[in-house]
Amino acid sequence: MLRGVRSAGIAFATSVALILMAAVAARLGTMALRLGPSVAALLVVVATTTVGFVVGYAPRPDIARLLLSIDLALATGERLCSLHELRSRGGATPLENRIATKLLETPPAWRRVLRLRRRDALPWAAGGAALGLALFLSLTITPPVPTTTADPGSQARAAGSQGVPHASSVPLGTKGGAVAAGARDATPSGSAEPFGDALAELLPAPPSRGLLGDLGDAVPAEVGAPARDLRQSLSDYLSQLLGRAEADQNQTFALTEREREALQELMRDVPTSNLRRSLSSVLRGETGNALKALLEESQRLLEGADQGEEGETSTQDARAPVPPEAEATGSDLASAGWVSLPPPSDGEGETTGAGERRTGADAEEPETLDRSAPPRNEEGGSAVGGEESGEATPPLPGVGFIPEELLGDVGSEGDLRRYFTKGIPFEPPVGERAPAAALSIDYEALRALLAARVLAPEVQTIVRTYFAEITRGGP
Amino acid sequence: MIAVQDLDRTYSTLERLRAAIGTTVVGQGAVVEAVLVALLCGGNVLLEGVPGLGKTLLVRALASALDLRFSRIQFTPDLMPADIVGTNVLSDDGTRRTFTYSPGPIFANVVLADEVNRATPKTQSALLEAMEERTVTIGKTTYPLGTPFLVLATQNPIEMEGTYPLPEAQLDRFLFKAAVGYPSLEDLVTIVEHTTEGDGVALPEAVASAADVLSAQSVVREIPIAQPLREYVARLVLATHPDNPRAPKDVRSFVEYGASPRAAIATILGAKAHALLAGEPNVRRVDIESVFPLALGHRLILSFRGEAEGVAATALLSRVWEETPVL
Repeated sequence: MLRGVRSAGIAFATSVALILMAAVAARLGTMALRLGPSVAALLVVVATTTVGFVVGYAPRPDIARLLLSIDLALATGERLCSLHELRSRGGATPLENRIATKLLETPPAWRRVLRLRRRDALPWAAGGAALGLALFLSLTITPPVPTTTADPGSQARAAGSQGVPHASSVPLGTKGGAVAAGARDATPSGSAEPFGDALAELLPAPPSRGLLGDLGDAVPAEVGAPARDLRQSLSDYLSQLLGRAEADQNQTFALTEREREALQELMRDVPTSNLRRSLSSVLRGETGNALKALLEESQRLLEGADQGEEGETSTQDARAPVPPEAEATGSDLASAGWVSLPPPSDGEGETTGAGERRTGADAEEPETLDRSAPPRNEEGGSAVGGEESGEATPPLPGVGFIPEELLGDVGSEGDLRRYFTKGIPFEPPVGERAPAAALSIDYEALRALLAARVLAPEVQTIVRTYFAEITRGGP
Repeated sequence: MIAVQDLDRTYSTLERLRAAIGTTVVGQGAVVEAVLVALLCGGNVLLEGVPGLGKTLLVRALASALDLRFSRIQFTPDLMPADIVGTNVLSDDGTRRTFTYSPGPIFANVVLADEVNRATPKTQSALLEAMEERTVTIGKTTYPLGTPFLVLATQNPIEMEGTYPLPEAQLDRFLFKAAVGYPSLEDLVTIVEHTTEGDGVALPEAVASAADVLSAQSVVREIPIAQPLREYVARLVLATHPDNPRAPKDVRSFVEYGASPRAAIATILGAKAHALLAGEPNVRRVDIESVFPLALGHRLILSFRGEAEGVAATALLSRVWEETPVL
């Protein structure tokens, strides 16, 4: 019995120590291990297998010996094994009833069973202490931001990941808000919610006007930094590739596997579908001049986006004073091409984001911007409408992001993060559709994103459900 | 198979017997218990102690309480076997002379062989058949002894002059060997009070019959002992053998020969009787512990080194008990 307690204690302490080490390593970011449900399940399986092995390896206990050991442990006067002896002989004797009666009359000495020697209790104490330490660490330690990246895309994301949502994290342009799944980088988060909670929050009805109004606080001014860094990284990388292509005299230039991976990583964060499509063509395996032409096309599309940003910035400089927060947020949203705000309900076609880009040099490349612009809504407003009006429209107040929030782990898909943009609630005319229905979604971009992310089907369903909900069905 | 009535009657008989002996014999509880256990097992007991400790009184009280035939043989150097088992004597009925067997004092239910080590080995050996076979053979005729039969032999451990230590073969015939010690202060005061006032020591009234004893002996054999405990007893006995790798170091050093299989039989049978005497329906480890030194103490043959260093058999048995695991 005591041997069993001792071995069980050792197994308990060992498993807790393993889990603790893994948790601390993952928490501190010193190990690439993600302690998700799969890892925990693996640990449980290993522990269970070990225990099963030990139990299975042990010889089958003799019933009589087992009963005698119980008798000795409980100080029952060896009555259990004696009863077994009588039963095995066969035939009832008055002694059998006498023994059973005595057995029931004698209270077992439970204290003798529960009394643990120090060496038997030590593993349990160590395991408990380790468990307490793990609990303490999980409540107190905040994971640091990873700083080492292997490719330009990752470096760009890391540079812009300080307290702001990542460019790849908000792939769709909406007016009311967006939820993006699939961001890979670790960023500071206040608290991690269980994945179940995230589902519960995702599946219900779309955010109300009140919720959208509440999201207008604490928007970081540097929200557009990651997008610019990403664009710069992508531009530099494309330039490098073009340089190699031009230097190749044999017309056999092709991307290496590493270059393909880096480009794929960067492409994943590209919000505009046009550019992404162009980059996808680059990755198809073309060589020589064909590949060079595709690279040039991608470079051209990227530069077009840069010009749009510059034009948008100049437009902001020229317009009426606006709150710094809103200014920075609006421009960054537009520059990233992530958010295309539909026109206000008054139908004037004023907009921010993509609409403002059309006022700048990017007007020469309307196609680029249209990729992320929402379709024209029922009120007649669209991103294109803003450009058509030719007016420099002031940014809508309260537009921007709140920091991302880590919802949980989605197995091999990585972390599930949630982002909100501050939306501009607007009153629909009486009898018109609800404000949420006015949200514009770039479904094409959404589908491309879902396909590129290789998200699990259930996660794709969640995302689709969400956007279907906030648009009351959508297209 | 025993009946419930047999069981209850045995418990009752033993209770009355213990109380009756207690009225005469003051103290010596362990010795009384050993004698009763031996009686229930049908075995013989060697009582070792200095004179005047009440050994004879105990045997007489037991015989009186059981209403059994009691005989006492004082062993002396000139005692002959015929003085114990009897002999054929020439008888003349007036018409013819014939040899007729005259039974000796061995023909009783309870025999006290007082100072058994004072007789010669030849005379001592006269007890061998009686103790083991419960018969006496004279010439070509074998005579059965009465039942129950119990030999209680005493010996003085101090006086070695003119004594003949019992041979190992005869020692092995004794179920138990019990040491009779000095009484405690309270017991001694009570003894003095009982023997110096009034009519002196009175033997108890008979509270049981020979049939009751025989019934109890049959019940003893029905008391269950678990197989692991049986194996435990066997391991204990084997642990007294110096060539056993599991024997304690002291046993390997000081013992010449370990206990015989009779020791295991005596231990298990004695444990059963001890359990019954304690009112328990099954053998417990504590029962084994109680009879283990009684059954093995006289069966260990110490080596020359053990004898020279004055090692006590009881100390060796304590070591065996401590170092032999139950499971």
